[in-house]
Amino acid sequence: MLKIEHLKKEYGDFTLDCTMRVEPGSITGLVGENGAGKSTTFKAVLGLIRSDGGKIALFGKTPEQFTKEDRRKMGVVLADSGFSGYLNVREVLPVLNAMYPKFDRKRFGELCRRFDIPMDKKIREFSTGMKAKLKVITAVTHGAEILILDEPTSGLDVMARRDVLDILREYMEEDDTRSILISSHISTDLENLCDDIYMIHDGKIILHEDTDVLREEYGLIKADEDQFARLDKSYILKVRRESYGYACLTDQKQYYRENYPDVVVENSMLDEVIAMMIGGEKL
Amino acid sequence: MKGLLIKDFQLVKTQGKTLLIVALALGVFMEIAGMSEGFVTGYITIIMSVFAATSISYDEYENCFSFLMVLPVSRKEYVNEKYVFSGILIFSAWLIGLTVGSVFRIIRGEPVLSAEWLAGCFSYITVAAVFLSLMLPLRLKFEGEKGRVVLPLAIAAMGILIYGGVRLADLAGIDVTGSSIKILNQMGAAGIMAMLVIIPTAAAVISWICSRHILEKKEF
Repeated sequence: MLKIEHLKKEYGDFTLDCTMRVEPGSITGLVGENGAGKSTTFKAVLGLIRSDGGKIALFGKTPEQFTKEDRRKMGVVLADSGFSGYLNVREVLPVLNAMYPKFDRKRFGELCRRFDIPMDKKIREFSTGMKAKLKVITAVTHGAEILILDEPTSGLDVMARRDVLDILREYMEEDDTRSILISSHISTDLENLCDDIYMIHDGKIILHEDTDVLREEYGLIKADEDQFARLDKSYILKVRRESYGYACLTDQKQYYRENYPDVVVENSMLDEVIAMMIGGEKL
Repeated sequence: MKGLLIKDFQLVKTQGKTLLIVALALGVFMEIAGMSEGFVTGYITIIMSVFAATSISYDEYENCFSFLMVLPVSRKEYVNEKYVFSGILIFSAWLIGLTVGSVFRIIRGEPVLSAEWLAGCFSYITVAAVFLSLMLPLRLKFEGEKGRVVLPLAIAAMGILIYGGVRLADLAGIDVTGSSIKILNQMGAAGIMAMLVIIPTAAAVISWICSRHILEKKEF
């Protein structure tokens, strides 16, 4: 559905070089630190900025070729942007109705009631959570084929994050050909939602893996000096010096569990994979 | 475009309504206080043209511009809508001002269908259109703080240019006011009306082309 090939964008000493794809029916996550290039990638995909090179194809078209109809097939959440704070939700309704022929006013109203979104309060007076939920509700109620969500859970408390993720799961359950591209610096959100995850660091994709593979095959080996010396290094992706010896990221944890029973091999959470991929060294 | 127009008129309803009422009250007060004829018409038209240019600031508030650009709206359409919205707004404000001004003339026992008075009122819409033609591309080009100082700077620059021009002409021994009146007299009523239509139309077309170009190049 979405293909990005060597998308390039330069800002001073920052260079983005991103290659990724989002398949129909799947939820793809883009994770990385602040300033890693997530928002730049999203903005380029949406045509908000011009790329300096590479290719972007969404629905088979470049951002410059998007028609109104193509835009209607996208549900977008931007981290730092939404409807004017001078409007209230009741005033936004006719705007959405005029812009999206498939706008589901009933579902919009239901979701607003369910998530306690006030209809007559100015959006600028909303809490961060309310604003985030309104943006997501807007994105999922006009029959979009793909959601492009930049940090939709940023700044939210646990309950608000859960609500947002629930809305996204329901959106996917309604039609199995839909797709979501979602970015976050909160990896647990993506770990539990996405089918595959791209990790971006300093403008480059440093890892792409199915979430199941990350969960089942990636692990963190904790070895002292002797154990580390004995280890087969073939499946070690990154190593980091620790007080007890070495922490090693592997994508074959079962192999090490079977062959090195005396070595601690822990299941790695996405946070640890990120920390190792960014902070660890390649052997 | 319909969605954007609805959005802007929702903003007029919430933000512009108070401005219009205050402008109307002040205009009426000045008419009663004996200000020159047609003051209320001119005052409301100009105030609402400032509001039309300010509608871009509402779009910029909390970075909302980026979100507007990912809605099913092309950049060209956004620019077109701003001109249509501004046109509707200043024409509506002018009609309200004209109606109030006419009521005052009836009360004073003056003829409403006076060509001189109607031409004077029509000139206000010309000034508003030229002002908006200048402001819309400037507001699209300069965002945030820069955008806010553009308005007083543009007015100051226009004032300096006009004043400087007149002073220079005076120094060169040219009587600008006298010459202008002479030229206007030579043009006749039809010529003046044509000028009042041609100048804002030409300004609006040039401004619209510039605005489309500015937004096409803009990154969010």
